[in-house]
Amino acid sequence: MSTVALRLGGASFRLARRVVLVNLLLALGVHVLLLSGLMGGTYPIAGADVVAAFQGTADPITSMVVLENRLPRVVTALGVGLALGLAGEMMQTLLRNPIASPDIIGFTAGAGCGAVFTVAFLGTSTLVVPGALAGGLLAAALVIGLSWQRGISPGQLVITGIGVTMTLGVVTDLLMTRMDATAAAALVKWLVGSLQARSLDEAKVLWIGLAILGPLALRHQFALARVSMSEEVATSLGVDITRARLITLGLSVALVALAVAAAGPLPFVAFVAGPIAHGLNGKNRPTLLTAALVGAIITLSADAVSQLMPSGFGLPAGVFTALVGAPVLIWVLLVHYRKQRS
Amino acid sequence: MTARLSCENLTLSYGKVTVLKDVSLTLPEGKITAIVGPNACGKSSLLRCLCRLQSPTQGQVRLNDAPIHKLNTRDVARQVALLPQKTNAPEGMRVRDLVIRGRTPHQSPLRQWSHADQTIVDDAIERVGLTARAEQLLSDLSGGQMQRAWIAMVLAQDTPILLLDEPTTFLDLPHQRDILQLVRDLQRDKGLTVAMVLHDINLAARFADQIVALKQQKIVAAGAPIEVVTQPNISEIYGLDCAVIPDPHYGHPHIIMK
Repeated sequence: MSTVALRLGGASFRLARRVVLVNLLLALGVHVLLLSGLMGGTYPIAGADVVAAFQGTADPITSMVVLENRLPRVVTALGVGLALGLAGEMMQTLLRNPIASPDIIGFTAGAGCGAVFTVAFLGTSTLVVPGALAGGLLAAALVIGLSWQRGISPGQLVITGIGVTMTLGVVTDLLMTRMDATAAAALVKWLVGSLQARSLDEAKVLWIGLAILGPLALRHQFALARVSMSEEVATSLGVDITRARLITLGLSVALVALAVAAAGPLPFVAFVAGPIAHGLNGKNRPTLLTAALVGAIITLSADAVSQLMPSGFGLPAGVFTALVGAPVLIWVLLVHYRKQRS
Repeated sequence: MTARLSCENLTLSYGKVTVLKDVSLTLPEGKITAIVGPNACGKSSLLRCLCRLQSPTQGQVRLNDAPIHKLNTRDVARQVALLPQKTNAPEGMRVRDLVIRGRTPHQSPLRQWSHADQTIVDDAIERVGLTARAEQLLSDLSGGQMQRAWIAMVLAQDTPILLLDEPTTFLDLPHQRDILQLVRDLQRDKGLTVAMVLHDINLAARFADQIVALKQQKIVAAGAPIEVVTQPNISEIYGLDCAVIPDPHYGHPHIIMK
C-alpha cells in the first residue's frame, strides 16, 4: 500500500495514494456535473453561452435560464450533497454502524418536521433554517435519550431512530392537514426532496452554513477517527470522548438541518455516501471528504436525471435518490447482518 | 524524562459493590511493578484508576503530584500510556496505521505526520520486530504479533510511564516470555516506569522489580519478588498450598502448587 506524506510549513498529513486519486476523480466528476447541469436540460445551452451569461453578455433568455433557473438549482444540489455526505459518514463512523445515518435514525425527519412546523404555524419560509435546526436537535435528543443505556448504544439507537422517524412522519402529515390545499401541495413536493424553484438567496444560506461547518467537520475527523477505536484506547490516547461525541452529533444535526431547509429531506443521500466512499477507497482512510464528494455526485446526478424527464413529468430529485438509495440499503443490511452472524 | 504516578487511599465502588478499598501505592520510577492477585481482587480496576479511565469514589491518583483527573487528558496521554486487556482495532487497519495512532497526543488535526512522528513510528515498529510486517492488516497477524503491534503503538506514544493490563493473557508460553522480555528490554533501554497486571505469579517474580499483591480489594503485600512470593503470603493471597523454590536459571522465587 502506498502513501504520500504531505508537509507544508507546520502542517503535515499522511494520505493513501488511492484516497488522493479517488478524491481528485470525484472532484472532477462534480465539476463535469455542475457544468452539464448549467448547459443541459429541456433547453440546451452551449458552454460559450453559459460563460457569456456569467459575464453578462448573453441574450436575456439565456441569462435568465442560466442565472435564475439553473445556477441556484445546481449550487443547491452541490451544497446539499456535500452536507448530507459529511453528516452521514460522521454518524456512521461515530456509531460504528453503516445503518446509523441521520436519515434513518430520525435527524432528517426531525429537521423536516421542524421546517414544516415553522411554515404551518408562522406562515413564512424565512425561519425554515432555525426551524429545521430545532427539529433536528429535538429529534436527536429524543432518539439518544430513549436509547440511552449507560452510554450511547448504536444498535438501540438505530431501532429507536426508525421509530422516531415514523412518528415524526405522522406528525408532519397532521401539520399538513392544517394547511390549505395549495400550500400543502407545494410542501409535499418539498418533503419528497426537491431542488426545483430554488432561489440564490436560499442557496446562500446553505453555503454560508457549509463554509463554517464543512471545515469544522473535516478538522473534527482527527478526533472522530480515534473515538471509533475503543473507548479505552481513545481515552488513553488523550481524546476527550464525550466532547468528541457531542461535537459529532452537533455538526451532523446542523449539516442535516441546512440541507433539509434548502431541499427538503432528500432521502438516502446521507446513508449511501459513506458506504460508497468506503467501497471506492478500499480499506484506506480517511473517507469524510470522499463521502462528501460522493453525496454531491448523487444529488447533482439526481438533479440531472430529473431535468431530463419530459416536461410534465417534473419528478422531484428525491424520487431519484430514493431509487438509488433503497437497493443500497438492502445490500448494506444483508452484508451487515451476514457479518454479524459469522 | 521521568514521571511519578501514585495513588492515595483509593476507594472505588460501583453502587454497593466495593472494588478497591483504601489502596495507596507509588510506582517506583524506572522499575517494573507487577500487580497480582486472585480474580476479582480489583487489580484491573486499580490499573484503570491509575490511567484515569476510571474515577475513584474516594482518594486520588496523582501524576507528578497533581490530581490526574483534573489534568488535561492530552497532557496525561503524553505521560502515561495504557495497553488495555481487550484490544480491538477497526477492520482494515494496518500495523503502521495502528502504531501511528500512538502519536495522537503529540499530533493535531493539521499536524498529523511530522518528521518526528515518522521517525518515532519507524523506531517503535522496529523495536517490536514487525518492520517486515508494517504494511500488513492487523487481522492477518498471529496473537503474538498482534500484541507486539499494540506494544509498538504505546511505545510510539513516547511516555515515561507504561501501564499494561494482562499483556500475556491470550498467548502461549513462549509468546508470554517473548512479550515480557520485550517489555523488560524496553523498560531498561528507555528507563520507563512500568506497571502491569499479571495472572502468573512466576512470570511476575521473574520479570518485575516490585510485586504488589491484592486480595479482597486491598493491598496485602508489596515489595521485591523475594519478599512477596513466600509460602505464607501465597497461602494467604490465593488460599493455595504450595512450596516456593528458587528457579534454577536465575534464582527468582518460583511457586510449585501442591
